[in-house]
Amino acid sequence: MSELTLFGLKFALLAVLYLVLAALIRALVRDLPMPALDVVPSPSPRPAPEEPPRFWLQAVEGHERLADRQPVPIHGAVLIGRGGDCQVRLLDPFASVEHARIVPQACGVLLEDLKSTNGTLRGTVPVVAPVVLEEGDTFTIGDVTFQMTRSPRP
Amino acid sequence: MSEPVLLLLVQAAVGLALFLARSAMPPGAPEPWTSATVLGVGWLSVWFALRRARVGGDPLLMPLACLLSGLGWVMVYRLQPDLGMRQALWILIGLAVFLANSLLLRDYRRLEEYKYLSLVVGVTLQAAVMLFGTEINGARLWFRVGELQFQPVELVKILLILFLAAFLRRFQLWLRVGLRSREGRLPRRALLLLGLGWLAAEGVLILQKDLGMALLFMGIFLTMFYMATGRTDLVLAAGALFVGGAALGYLTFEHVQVRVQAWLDPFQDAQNRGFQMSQALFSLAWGGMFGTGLGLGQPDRVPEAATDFVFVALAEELGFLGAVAILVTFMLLVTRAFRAAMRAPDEFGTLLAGGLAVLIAWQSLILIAGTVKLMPMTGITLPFVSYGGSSMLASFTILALLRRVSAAC
Repeated sequence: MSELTLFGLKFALLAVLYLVLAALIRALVRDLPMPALDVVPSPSPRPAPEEPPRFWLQAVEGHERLADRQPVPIHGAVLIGRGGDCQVRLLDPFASVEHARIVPQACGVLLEDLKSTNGTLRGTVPVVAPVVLEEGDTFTIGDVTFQMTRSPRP
Repeated sequence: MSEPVLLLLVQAAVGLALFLARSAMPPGAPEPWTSATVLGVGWLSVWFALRRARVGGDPLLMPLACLLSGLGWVMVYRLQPDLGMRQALWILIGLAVFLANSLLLRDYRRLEEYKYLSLVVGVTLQAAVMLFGTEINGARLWFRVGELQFQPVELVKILLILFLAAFLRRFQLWLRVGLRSREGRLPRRALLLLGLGWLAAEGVLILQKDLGMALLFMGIFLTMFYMATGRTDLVLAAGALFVGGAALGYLTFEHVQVRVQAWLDPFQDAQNRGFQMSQALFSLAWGGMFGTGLGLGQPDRVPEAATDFVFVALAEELGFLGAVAILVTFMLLVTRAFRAAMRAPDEFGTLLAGGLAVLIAWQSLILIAGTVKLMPMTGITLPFVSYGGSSMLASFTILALLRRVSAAC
């Protein structure tokens, strides 16, 4: 082969290499979103007391499948995390086994971060000490954002 | 694009590279095209067999490994055609190992039961090669049976990761006592484990005089410890302790001093001790941005170009852009391995895939940094790319394990 052909083919090879890489990266980017995010109510919830709960916990953001999740009634203290003992199980790799706890109070609902690895956000502020949540307040664990509400969407 | 399409695309690129390398070589060299066809059909039939057996998994792992092993093979063939023929055979055997592992190991969680067995086998192999191994180039790293050489280190690494993943999973809570709940108390158990790991790494460093292996072991151990406990301070302290031990090794052993000297100033003794490093630097510089073109450079002037310095050979003939492409391919492979770790349904899977990910990451980083004079050169192989049977079989075993974990999501 002539030197000119070899010279051209050298660049052709580099171009082909980068085309292959582009195809691989495209395939990689396509399935970056995590598929297995899910909020599952605990399999053995405590027996519901007579009076209806004053607050509900609604997952509002994080994954398309979360949109039609049932809101979780808050009767007593609710443990949120990745572990099997939690009332709200969050299959998010950024959630700790026992990530956070919410406890109903007279004035609202108390949110407490249980020294989780990746922390909890109330709105956009990290939760350091327990904070009181009121109607419409949101908090975020991993990729999932929850909202406290008195009137759950059906 | 689906897995077979990506595989075919990768093979087209490798085929073009092989064509260029062949056309620049003398006509008397053995023809590579039979091997190339067998390899191409091999990759596709492994994919087909896995699909028939309904073994799922990350569809990017095989194309990435195919690209790395293909480019490595073309370079080895271009440097030493007869070695290239053998490398093709090793890739084929590696593919068979990959297929067998993927088909037989239906549930990777069962490996967790063999944690102590893998520790004992790994330590025994390592001790045996240190005592009875064949010495090549001043290092006792090989077993020799007739014509065949076997480097047990490659297997030992995988066994150690299996053990560490199972052990850290099993004793995660036990280790965390004193780490989180009661602040101020010394985390004695974690410190004990870190101390043992540190001793093992220093032991490899002192007994085997192998800085690369010690660094690799410490890197994997500390990263996996971090993944299990999440303690940055302890990991940093142990890392600092290891650096201290390595510095002590530098002051004590002449063998290490020679390597560090050859690293800091290879041109001081360019005809002798710094020969390899300075040749490698000339080679890299000659490559420039676009390279000399495959088969048109002279990377064979670098000693051990087909094994330790294969990255330099590729960088000379494919240029800076080609070298970056190879680095990106390694990055993608590590990203996919971490993705499998993040999505694994259990902690063992997370630690196993994470450990294998850092193995690939650390090993390629240590070797490539050594060949481009970023750190002292240490003789370990580049996964999938370097010439070497043990290394190739180990790489394909890692690939099978990663695919298995990624399939369990």
